[in-house]
Amino acid sequence: MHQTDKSDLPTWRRIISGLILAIVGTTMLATSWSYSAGSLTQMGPGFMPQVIAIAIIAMGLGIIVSDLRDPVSRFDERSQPLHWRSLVFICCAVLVFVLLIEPAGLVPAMFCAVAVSMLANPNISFVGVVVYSAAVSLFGWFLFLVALGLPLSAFGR
Amino acid sequence: MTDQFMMGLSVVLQPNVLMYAFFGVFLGQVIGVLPGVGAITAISLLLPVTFYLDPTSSVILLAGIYYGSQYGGAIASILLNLPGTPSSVVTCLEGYPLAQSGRAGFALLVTALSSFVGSMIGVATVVLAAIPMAALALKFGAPEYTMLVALGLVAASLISSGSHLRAFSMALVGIALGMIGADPNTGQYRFVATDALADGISLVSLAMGLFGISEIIRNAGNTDTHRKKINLSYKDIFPNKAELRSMITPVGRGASIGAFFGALPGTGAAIASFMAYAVERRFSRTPEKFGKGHLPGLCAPEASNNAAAQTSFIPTLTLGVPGDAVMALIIGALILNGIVPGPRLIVDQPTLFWGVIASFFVGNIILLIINIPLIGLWIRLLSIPYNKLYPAIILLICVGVYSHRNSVTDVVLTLVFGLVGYVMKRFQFEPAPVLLGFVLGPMLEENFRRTMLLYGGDFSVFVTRPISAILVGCGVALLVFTLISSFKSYRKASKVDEENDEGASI
Repeated sequence: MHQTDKSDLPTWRRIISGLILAIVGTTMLATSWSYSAGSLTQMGPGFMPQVIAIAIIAMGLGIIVSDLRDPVSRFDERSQPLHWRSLVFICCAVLVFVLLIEPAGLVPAMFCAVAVSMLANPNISFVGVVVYSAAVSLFGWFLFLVALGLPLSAFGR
Repeated sequence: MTDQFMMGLSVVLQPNVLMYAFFGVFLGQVIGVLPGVGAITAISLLLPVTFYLDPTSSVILLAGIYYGSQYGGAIASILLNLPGTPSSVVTCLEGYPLAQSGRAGFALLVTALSSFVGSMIGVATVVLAAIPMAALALKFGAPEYTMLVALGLVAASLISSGSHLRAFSMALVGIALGMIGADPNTGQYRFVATDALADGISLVSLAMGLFGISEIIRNAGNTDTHRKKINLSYKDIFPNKAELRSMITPVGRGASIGAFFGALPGTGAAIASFMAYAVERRFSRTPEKFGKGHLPGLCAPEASNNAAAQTSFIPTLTLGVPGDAVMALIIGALILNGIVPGPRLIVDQPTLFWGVIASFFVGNIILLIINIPLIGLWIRLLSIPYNKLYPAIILLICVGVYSHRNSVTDVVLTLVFGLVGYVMKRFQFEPAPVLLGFVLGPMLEENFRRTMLLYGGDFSVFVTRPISAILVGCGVALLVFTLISSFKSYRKASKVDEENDEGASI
């Protein structure tokens, strides 16, 4: 069979997803504790957040139990390596856009974001990046500024 | 009813509205063909654009993308054995073998026809159900809305393909995200960590992050360009009389199943297509033919998912309660345009209401017309590598989110949700329930609070009011059904395990 043995994965990796969820729920409960809960007939702003937070914690614990008991098949994707290359370059592309859009304008921001995002593909040439980014930016300029007429400036503020 | 439908038709047939209907279904078809880009991504990409359109055109455009993608999804399934949309997974089972046996053109034509008939049955159901449903909806008070929303959330978790616990926990996380911002009753800020969150999270950021960015991170730089040879023959493309006759019952059955599951909150086109396939197989006199290009197994799920795509608009338009993530985005588009979805929509906005319904009718005719003649174009689309596509999607996401509120923070938030979505996917958490919970959460809280206030904290109101009691009954029935079937499959699985342990490993 293709199933890997249960012992392949350390316990912490089997419980981590439920644990993260339980931590999220606990944080939410702690934050919403300061909101007034009111009573069932006169609910305050804190009532539902606290209920949902407790439900999320319960779900997290439930998932920990079910992950510890389940066959390993659903852990397949977790044992694959992270997509480091695209993680880095896609994040950078969005951040480049964020940094450039207000000082430099739409066209430079689009060009740089597209160029950086293309680096996520390992088999790409410098010329390919420049040509394709220019083409996509031209398309973006046409779509957003000419066709849709968004109130954004192409260059500069 | 006929009058209203005709009035709707006159709205759609205005040239500028017709253009958006055409653009929507065309884009939907393209999105459906492209593997890796789904209807949710496309609709969330266009959500900020609809801000610049009138509400009727916006919904017609977005709806067209959704049901158009149901047609397109079948093409990649049949030709490449790659489902373009989740609801065309079962289409691969019969469509691909049929294409392998040299009848790809035939398979495409048959699915287009089944899709069209299924859609039309779905549209007819919407037209017939609209007025009674809207009348019924006016009887809905806070308890009914509370239960309906709760039923939608529970159903979406129970009928998901993965773990129910995981799906339900994601719906809860969605509800929690929906709470960020000012409390609607008291105005107190909740979970506002920075000032930028005071207005709450924008649906556009959430949807584009969870679906757009995270998918790109997973797929960008995927260098294995396995391009299969597509052999398409136009030889005996038209079904003969016997084949046509053998299609009628499966299409009718599939469309009925689809119409039912589409209208039910929490279920959608994907589940409808699986159900239709399972039913065809169980009631077939020749079950051994399935999996080898059997015609009923191809027609029924296609009719079913298209019917479901249409009827899923019933709760959305008449009650203002979205049944799945796509409908949540459509509701979002209405709210962005300043329209309150709900039972008053049919009275207050008759042109929008009937215009949208009539656009389904027109849109499906357009889809049938563009489907087969443009097959060459669809095949060329299939050969576009993802590495050419994703930089353009990144661009659409960045500019789309930014232009929505001219907010840099929204773009950063989108990236954060993209990373969260990526991590979630690795831990087998599906993002769709988050979106549903995000839109349904505020409705749930508001109606629950109102119910408790009006009925003095008495929970029995949920079972003493008839409509609410029926909704509770549906929820309980669904829960029992799921528990029984998961118990059965658990026993089956452990049995298989034992057999494998005893026998030699394969």
